[in-house]
Amino acid sequence: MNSLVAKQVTYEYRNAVQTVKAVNGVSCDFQQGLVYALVGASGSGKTTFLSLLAGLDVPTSGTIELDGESTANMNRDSYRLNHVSVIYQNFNLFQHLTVLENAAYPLYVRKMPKKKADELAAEKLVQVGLKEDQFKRLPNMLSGGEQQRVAIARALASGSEIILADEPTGNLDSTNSSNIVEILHRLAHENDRCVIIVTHDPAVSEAADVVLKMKDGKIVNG
Amino acid sequence: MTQKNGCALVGVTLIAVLRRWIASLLLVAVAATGAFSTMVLQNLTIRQEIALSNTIANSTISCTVTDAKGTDSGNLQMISAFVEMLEGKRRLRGCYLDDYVKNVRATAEMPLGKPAGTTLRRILSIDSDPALSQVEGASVLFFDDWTEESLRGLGQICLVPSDMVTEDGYITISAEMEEPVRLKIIGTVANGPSNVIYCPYFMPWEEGISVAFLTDSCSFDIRDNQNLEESKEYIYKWFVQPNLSNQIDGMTFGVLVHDETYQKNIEEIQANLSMLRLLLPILIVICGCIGFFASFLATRGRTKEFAVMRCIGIRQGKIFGLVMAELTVLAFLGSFLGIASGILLEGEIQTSALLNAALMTGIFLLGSAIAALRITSVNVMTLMKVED
Repeated sequence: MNSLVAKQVTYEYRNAVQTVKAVNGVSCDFQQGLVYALVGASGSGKTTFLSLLAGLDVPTSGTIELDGESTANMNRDSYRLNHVSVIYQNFNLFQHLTVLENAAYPLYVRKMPKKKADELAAEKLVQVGLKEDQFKRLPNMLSGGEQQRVAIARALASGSEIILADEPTGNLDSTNSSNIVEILHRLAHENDRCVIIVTHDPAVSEAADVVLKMKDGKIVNG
Repeated sequence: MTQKNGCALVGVTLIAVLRRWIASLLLVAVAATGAFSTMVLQNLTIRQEIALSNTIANSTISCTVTDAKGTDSGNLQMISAFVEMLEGKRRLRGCYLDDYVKNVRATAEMPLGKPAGTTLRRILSIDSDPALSQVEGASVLFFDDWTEESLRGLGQICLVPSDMVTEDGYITISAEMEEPVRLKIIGTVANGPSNVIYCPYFMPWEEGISVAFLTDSCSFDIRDNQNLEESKEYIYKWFVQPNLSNQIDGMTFGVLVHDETYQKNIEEIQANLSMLRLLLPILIVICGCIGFFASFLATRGRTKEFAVMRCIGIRQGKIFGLVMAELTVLAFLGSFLGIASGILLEGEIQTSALLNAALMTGIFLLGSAIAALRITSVNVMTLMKVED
């Protein structure tokens, strides 16, 4: 991937009273090897914009293009499986799969042989700082920071060029937060991924290469 | 290779089913209970149906002819034409009573002048005379090739007490107003009455001439219990229900149909059957609802999990397939356990009972299929907002 570009992206939804423009004509582009922080007050539209970048829904108008091709023309399942990984505040791990199985899950979906998938996932788990004796544990036996590392390892193992993180440090203490931020930075700078983080945490945004501030569905400093 | 690799996803999905063992066990228990209870109830119903048809087919409903008041059944003074009609040997006014009755038993007695002090008793079968029944202790020994069947035929033959057997094998009898007749002795009666000679009911007194005897007692069985009411109605055309008539005229005879025990048994089985037939659909609906909602809610409770799967990029159809694979394993395991328990308890299993178990499994799977379809058809962004 060379670039992920948003062109005049608008997203509307209808609540009980009126039609709300959660994202209002946002244009910006994202490059590999950089960490982007998407900041703004609650309700400013940053999580919705992140979901549109993740291919979880389609913009009401405007386009999101990956290397010049509109994601609207792509199969969204395939786009999510092959190009994008999302990391959530509440980790969203499969509670009945082991740490190793969670990390290898996208590879199982791609029909990679189990042994190879497990080896690759184990490598990524070690890369994010987990120990081998933790691989067979279930997620609820790990701390929050460790669970978030598993989620990052899953994103890494999937090989996606774009890693989207929605408040990845929201449930973590400061030590774990800085570790996770450091890992995400390494992903961008050493593994050449495009990392986009939605955050309220000033420490996270200060460490980002690019900060995009959203207000009322628009980027106000882009 | 592709198929084998695809198995990794199915494999970890099924392993997760084991790790969710409490929920899985509950679903298996629901499926097993549904299959077991409907199967057992269906089996009970079938068993009662078999008992009903066996009772109808194998019960003997006997009828006793009485005087019109129903008080005397031993001295009827009934013309033998009635017996001939019951036996099907005579049809009167288009009546074919032998279509409705069988095993006719009748006796007619006549005092004999010779041998002095003896009685000639005409019987349709050995059963016709209580003294000849095994209960009374008498035993009949037929000579040579003669059999009981001979007594149902037409011939100048007889059974005599042992001490009346003659050297030439014949005995000459005579009644008042009748010419003497020579009967061939075809057997003896031991331990029976010492002064009674038995001969066929329809014995010709002389060659080609039959004497019109008066019947003393008569009884018969209903031919087809399936059509009991129709049979009774037809029989009452020729006899009367004793409790409905006070007429004693020597021409009107009553008949007692001994169907009280039979009717009681049938009513008991039919009451059981009605209750089972009512309970079965209720149980199917209850078990079906429980199975449906258990699998529906169990699947819906995993919405967030499916959302994450969708977020990772798994197709809706694939998620649906994985859910159905899980639930199919649990449903079949539950049904298998339910059926196996049913077989252990019942010892056998009817096809229709298996169909009920299959129906339960189907409803169980339908619940999860609907839940899975509902979940996977919702926008992923909406799904991700669902709380754990």
